[in-house]
Amino acid sequence: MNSFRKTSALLLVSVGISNLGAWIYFIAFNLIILEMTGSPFAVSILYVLVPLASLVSNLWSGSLIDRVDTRRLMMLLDGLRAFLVFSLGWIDSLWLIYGIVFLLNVMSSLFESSSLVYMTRLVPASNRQKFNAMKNFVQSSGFILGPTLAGLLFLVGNPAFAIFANAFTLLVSVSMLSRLPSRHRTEASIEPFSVKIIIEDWKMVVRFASNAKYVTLIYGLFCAMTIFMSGLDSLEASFATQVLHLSESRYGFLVSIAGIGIIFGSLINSRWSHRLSLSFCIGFGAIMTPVGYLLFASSSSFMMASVGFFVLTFALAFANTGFLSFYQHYVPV
Amino acid sequence: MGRFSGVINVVESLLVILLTFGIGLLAEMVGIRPVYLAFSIIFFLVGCYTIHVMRDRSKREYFSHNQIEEVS
Repeated sequence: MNSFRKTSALLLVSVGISNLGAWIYFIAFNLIILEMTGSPFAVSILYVLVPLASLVSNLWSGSLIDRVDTRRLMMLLDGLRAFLVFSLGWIDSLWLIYGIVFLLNVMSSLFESSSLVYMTRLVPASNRQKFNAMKNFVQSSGFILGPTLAGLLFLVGNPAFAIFANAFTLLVSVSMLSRLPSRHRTEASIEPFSVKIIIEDWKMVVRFASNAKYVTLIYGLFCAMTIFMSGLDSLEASFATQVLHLSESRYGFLVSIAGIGIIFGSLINSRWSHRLSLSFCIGFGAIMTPVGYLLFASSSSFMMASVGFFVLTFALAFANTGFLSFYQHYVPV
Repeated sequence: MGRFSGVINVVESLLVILLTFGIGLLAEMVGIRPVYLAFSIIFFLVGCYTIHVMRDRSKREYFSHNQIEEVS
């Protein structure tokens, strides 16, 4: 049990460091691009590159991830990301920067999928709900700590310095991952990786989805939540500043309240994971997250907007934990 | 698992791109608050549908595995 606690803690710290680094890098890059071009549109391209990279990588990444040692893949990806992030600090060409950021996003998407498979293999089924809540807590802490740390790094150095700091955090994450056990199942690696295999895998997924219709429906509904949240979040800053007329610092405070909501929700999930049923977590998250958005959408004061933000992120912690645990239980690893 | 989430994420990413562009364009044409409110209401309906799907009595066993594991 102690060894499991140790590996869980190592994995969570590694996820936390990567997440913190990603926040610092993202905020720094917003500022660098804005400084280089003076154009908000040039900055918004950074946001479009995230789902675009996810789209490109997910076409084939699953076939690769299910056949290789995920821990080694995660280490390789973190190492490559550290190198690319470090090289970004020396590049002036905007298009080259977009190209490298796109590659980084592809690697982040691969890392995310690999880590999900690795965690599912590493964490016993009975501990998953608690572990997922802890992971949620660690990731949501980055929500608060990331921008704060980025601000401190900008005070000490400049955005480029913050980018180098991110490269360093990725290397720390590699060293932590190297201390974790491998959970690779060798029998799957016999097939060579090819386009034919990818097509076969897609057919297999379609077969699985038609056999496990209910599991696919529940996970599909979670994806629908993610899609709505991404769309609404893209309007959030404009809504806060142009409709509610909040200053940038008040908007920043509002984002911190959202961070507190998700941290509070994750802590409750983690502390009482054995008492909270999956159906409660999913149901509460699925209903109360949009209620939070509705409160925010109909708000006319900072107070009501804060309540909306708190409710939506607090409920999101339940939805994340519930849906992820459900998914890990019913989708074969 | 990697393959399944890969395929689902492809569809999800496509819809995220389309919805983000769609919401942005609509906000420019109609206004930020009405668009934000309308999509929040649709999102709430998705939540209600999730509850409806979960309340299906024949599917109760899908949500009881954590208690079973606690007992065992």
